[in-house]
Amino acid sequence: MNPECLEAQQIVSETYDGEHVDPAAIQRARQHCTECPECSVFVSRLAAIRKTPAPSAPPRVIQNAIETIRTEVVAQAALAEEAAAATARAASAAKEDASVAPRPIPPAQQPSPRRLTQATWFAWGGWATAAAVALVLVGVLAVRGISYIAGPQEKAASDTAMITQNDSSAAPLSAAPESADDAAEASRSSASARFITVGGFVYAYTGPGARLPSNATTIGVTVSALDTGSAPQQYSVSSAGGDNFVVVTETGLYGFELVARTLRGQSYGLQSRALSGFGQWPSLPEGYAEPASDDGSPSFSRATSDDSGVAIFTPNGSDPSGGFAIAPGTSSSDPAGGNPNWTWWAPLP
Amino acid sequence: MSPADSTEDRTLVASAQNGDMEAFELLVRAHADAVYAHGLRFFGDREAAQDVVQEVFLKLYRSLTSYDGSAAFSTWLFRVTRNVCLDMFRQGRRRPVPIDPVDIAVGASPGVTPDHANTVVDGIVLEQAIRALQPEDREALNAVTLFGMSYAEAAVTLDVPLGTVKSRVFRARRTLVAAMGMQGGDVQ
Repeated sequence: MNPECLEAQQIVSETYDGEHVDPAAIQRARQHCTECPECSVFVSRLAAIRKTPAPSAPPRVIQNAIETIRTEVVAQAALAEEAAAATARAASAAKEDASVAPRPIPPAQQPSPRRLTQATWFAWGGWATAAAVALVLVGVLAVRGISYIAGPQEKAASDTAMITQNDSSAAPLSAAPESADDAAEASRSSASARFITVGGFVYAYTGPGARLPSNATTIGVTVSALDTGSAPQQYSVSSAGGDNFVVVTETGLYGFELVARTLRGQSYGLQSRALSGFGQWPSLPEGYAEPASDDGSPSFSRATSDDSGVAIFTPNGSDPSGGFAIAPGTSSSDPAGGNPNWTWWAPLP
Repeated sequence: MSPADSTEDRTLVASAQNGDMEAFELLVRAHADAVYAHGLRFFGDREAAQDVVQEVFLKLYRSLTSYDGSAAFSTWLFRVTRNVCLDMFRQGRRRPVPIDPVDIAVGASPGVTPDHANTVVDGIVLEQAIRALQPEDREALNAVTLFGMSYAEAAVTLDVPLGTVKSRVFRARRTLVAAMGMQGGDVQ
């Protein structure tokens, strides 16, 4: 192509984009394009292309996006409110029942200040609240101690009768027969996201519970739509002590287990913003901005890797013992596998 | 995007950062088309584009506090949109529908007027031609034409020299003009 044509067409293109071009150059290009048939066609086609509208989002798509965000806002508020109420109830119960002495929490195991700002579950001060927090933690820890996911190897080594996500006896919530369509549906990423949050920690669905053991005690609440497709509701979360699941009552029994991983021998639980129903993936808790790039910036810097080679990110590259982030894209065997979001893992006492 | 639009975006973001959900909804409505179009051009699939819209705005909402206004909102939006598409692809959650540049089909919707049909056909042909562009050319073109970024902003966001953005956009345009010519003459 004639260099003059190339220059003229480039000037026209840049001018269309609002870029600053020397007026004299524009004048020269304009003159050239009126005289050159090839460039004249270029200009007319370019003008036609500009007039052709780009695809626009259907109103339903926009509305769905807005509804999703609204749901998250409502769920977060409801969870904060209900968690505070549950804490208050636990505090009241602690005062009334002298036989239930709250287990003291060693300073090293107390929630860090950062977690205090994230989890409204722990957001109150004072001795009564400390007792309540201890009760809640005891409940959560009782569950965690028997059911958390410590990693594939440890899970395989476990001889407990845990209900796990891979347990064939754990029937799916919708008891539809297996089919090609089911398989296709199962492959959809959001369909495999079946989580709730309790006290800021994430629990994965393990299957339906057969019955609520008589020794089960309520350890907290969660606000979720579960698999109902309706608005999020508050459900109580119970632990049966020696059994391996947390149960959400009132709409049936749902088994869950804490999502956790290990790093250097220490266990870390997955924390997240409130999840308002199944189909949502855990995401970074409040206070942690979503990184803008794969290297974690500006929120995180890569600190180290775990034994599986999964990159560990922390704020400012600090020591991961206080908690760390994992980027999306881990393998399916990883506790964060399949999750499209960055995740935050807090140390478990 | 005009400076006025940019100012309005900043005002809306500031309101949203203060908890004004309606302000954020206005941002969604104002920019959903660009995000959707980018997703559609990336994956060639409407369902995937819908997922992109949902995920992009959820991420934006969750990271509102990190936006300090140092860059235009559209620049931030483009960066998040680009990352969401790449993440969905890398994680295998969505795969771009293959397209053969030689097989740019033309087909008018039935029951529409000739003028409307022409517009529809032009749009279909153009979008297929855009999908057939080199990814880096398409990305630069989208940054400039869908998100209203300047060449300089696009250069920073794409982490390439300014001259590279100019070249990519121009190459994309020349390819599109040529593709439209192959479809039977001028687009009108």
